[in-house]
Amino acid sequence: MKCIECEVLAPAGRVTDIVPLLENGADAIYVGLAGYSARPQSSDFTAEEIGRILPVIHRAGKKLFVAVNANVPGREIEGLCGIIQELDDRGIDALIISDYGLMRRVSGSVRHAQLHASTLAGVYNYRDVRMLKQMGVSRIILSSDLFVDEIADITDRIPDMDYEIVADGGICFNSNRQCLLPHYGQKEGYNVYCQKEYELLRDGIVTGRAKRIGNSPGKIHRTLGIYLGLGIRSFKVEGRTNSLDYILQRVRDVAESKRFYLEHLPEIPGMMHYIRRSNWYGV
Amino acid sequence: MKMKKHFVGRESYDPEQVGQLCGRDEVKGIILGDLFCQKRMFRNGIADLILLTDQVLSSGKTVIYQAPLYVTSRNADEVASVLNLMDGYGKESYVIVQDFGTAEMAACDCGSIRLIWGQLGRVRERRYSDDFLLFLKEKGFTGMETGDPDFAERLRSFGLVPFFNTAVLQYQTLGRICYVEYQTGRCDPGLCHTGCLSLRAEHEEFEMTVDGYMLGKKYRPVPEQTLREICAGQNAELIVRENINETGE
Repeated sequence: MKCIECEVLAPAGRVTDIVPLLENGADAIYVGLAGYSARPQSSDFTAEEIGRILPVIHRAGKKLFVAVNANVPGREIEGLCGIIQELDDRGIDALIISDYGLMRRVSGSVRHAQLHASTLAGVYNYRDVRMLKQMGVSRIILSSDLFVDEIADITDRIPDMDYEIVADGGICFNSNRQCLLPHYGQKEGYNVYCQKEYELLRDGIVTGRAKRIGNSPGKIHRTLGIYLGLGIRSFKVEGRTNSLDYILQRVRDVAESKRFYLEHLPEIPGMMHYIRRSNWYGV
Repeated sequence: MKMKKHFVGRESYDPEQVGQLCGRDEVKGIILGDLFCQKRMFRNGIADLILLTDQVLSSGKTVIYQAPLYVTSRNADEVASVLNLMDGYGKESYVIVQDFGTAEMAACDCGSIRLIWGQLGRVRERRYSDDFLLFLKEKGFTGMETGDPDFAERLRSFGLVPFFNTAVLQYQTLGRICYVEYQTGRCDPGLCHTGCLSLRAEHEEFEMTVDGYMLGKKYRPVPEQTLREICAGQNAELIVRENINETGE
């Protein structure tokens, strides 16, 4: 019998978020390393905090990933590598990295943690994946900009790789962070950092208001089965700067989708035929 | 200010404009290719790109091919064709790439083409570790785009040639799934292309789409004093961005 592997990956912005996330369906949790993630430091975790939450997560049989995907120092990278070594010694399950130089250096030194290539690594084609695989990367977090057929091409050509997609949130249309537009702090009761209301500017003059862009909540319900079929193993909820209530709702949504599809995929005529070999295991 | 011999990058081209650029002594070469869609830059898309590449190389000038930001299964063959065409001339030419997979393709299959790492090479991050620059070198890169004189100096210290832009790209809308999927609740590449082309036909400005989403680019000119210093110095190539506001950007 084929069993599909499917992971719900949840963001944590505070130590107190961990237990509720585990209780609401998260199979794995990711946090940002203080000062080295692509989010404000207030939502990051220090190495000491990571050391505190790790046993809680492992006792629940879940995994902890640590994002080191921004602000990699230009020079004197050794300090950061020391912290990474400490995290690896503590037993974190994976490092999420975007800097290719750091990735190469770390791949030769970590003993326990797997390497995940961040969306910020900009992976768009199978050649990118092949190179990262040779560098010891075990998971690719696919760019939210890829179309379904482009994802299929990648997973088809390099099936023996873990793939992750952003299942909820995260589709910020100024995705290269070069935007100079004003950002708003609060929206619908949660803190908005990445998906903001935008005002459009032309040479400093406001020309109109832009709509927010991003997946509407629960949208993944309609498509998760397709992505499972493509060989996507992990479904990430983004937004660790958001309130816990907001995140929990999204995690429950994705976990519910997972339950639904895992229960019903075999009932969809022909569907199992299309499940990629990389994404199932026999029992 | 008198510019040293430089490369020219424009937002759009036609054969007449390229002919004029090729006739200018101070122009060393021309950047051809759009980050997103050749139809934005050339009236006849990839066909024009190939013809104009031929035109520039035949004139004795150098081509810098700007590979798309997203080289995916949809356009990889197209990119490979352009690279092979350039390589076939056996003349000095460059490609600006944004991902290592495309770089590998160029390095393996097209030995005469030099690799330049583009400014948008990593989706968000604009900081580059020493290890990253070493990685670029090992992967066969000879240069990197920049608009920062300090970073240009750092590149030189790693043996990489700075390709210094006279205007730095500041923002750009990159979300390909973007508005169509949001509006329709499904990803339909056909619709997406249609949306882009309709926009192009409706009005040439990419400042705002019909849905209110922003597209397009904005350039920040580099201060003249900085340019003077770059022009006076050695070991840096200069990219002059011309007509950057002509398309409403």
